[in-house]
Amino acid sequence: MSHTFEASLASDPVQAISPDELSEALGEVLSSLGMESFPIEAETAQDLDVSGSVTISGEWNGAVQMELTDSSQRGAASAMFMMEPDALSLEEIVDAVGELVNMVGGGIKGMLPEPSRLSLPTVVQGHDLHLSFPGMSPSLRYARATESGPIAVTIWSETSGT
Amino acid sequence: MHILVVDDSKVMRSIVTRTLRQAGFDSYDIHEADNGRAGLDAALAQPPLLVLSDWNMPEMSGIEFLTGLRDAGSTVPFGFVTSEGSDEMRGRAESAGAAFLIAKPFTADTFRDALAEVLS
Repeated sequence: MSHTFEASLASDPVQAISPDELSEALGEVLSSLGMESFPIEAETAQDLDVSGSVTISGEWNGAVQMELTDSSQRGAASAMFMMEPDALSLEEIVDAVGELVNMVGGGIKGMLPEPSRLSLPTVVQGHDLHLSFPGMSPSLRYARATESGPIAVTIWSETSGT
Repeated sequence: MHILVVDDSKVMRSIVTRTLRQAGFDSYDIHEADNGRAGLDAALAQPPLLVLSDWNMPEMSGIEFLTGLRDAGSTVPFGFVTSEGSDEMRGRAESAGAAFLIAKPFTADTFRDALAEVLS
């Protein structure tokens, strides 16, 4: 899936956050869960099989979307549950992806104007999904590679004038 | 003697339990609930030594759970384990009567430092 990034956005506080800082924060979350990773070009994170997202509403409005391959979502769930990938149920994998995007989204929320509210996560399984968030446009995308495959994060910002 | 772990995510309940053991709190039984409403019912029915609760949950949020406990007259120590660790959230937690807020991601050391005083 490719994104066209809109240039809203001198007023969008997301633009003031360094992509490297965001990538590092993602790396810290993954590391805390036992997954080593390194940054990769976001464009190389393709053929993704699952999308987890949370919305942020309040002083800043937007969404944080996380995309993984089937392999990387199983790898993440395996590390989080400390179970073999093949022993995981779909429910457990979905739970792990939801919690992962919750953690990443919560961290990003903390970098943006408060007060605001973080939604519960939504997880959608499907190859090469194209999701849209009403009134929002993708403003930043970054990715990291884990042993099991890529994990990409897109921050969606409220489009000016909506 | 038990600790009540409340989170709508099964994997996070597992991680919290694992981290409690790693932090040296392995002599306590762990009870679980998957939302604030179930947590409130469990805590009032069988008061734990400590509640560790997520903030954002269906049915009833962690802050609503804590408020419900205090309104019911319970003084059980309560700590948040949440993905949201901003100053604003910490202020809200403290105002509602939480003893601490542990932000995700966390380590066993974080747990040890936050819980030692409460469980001593």
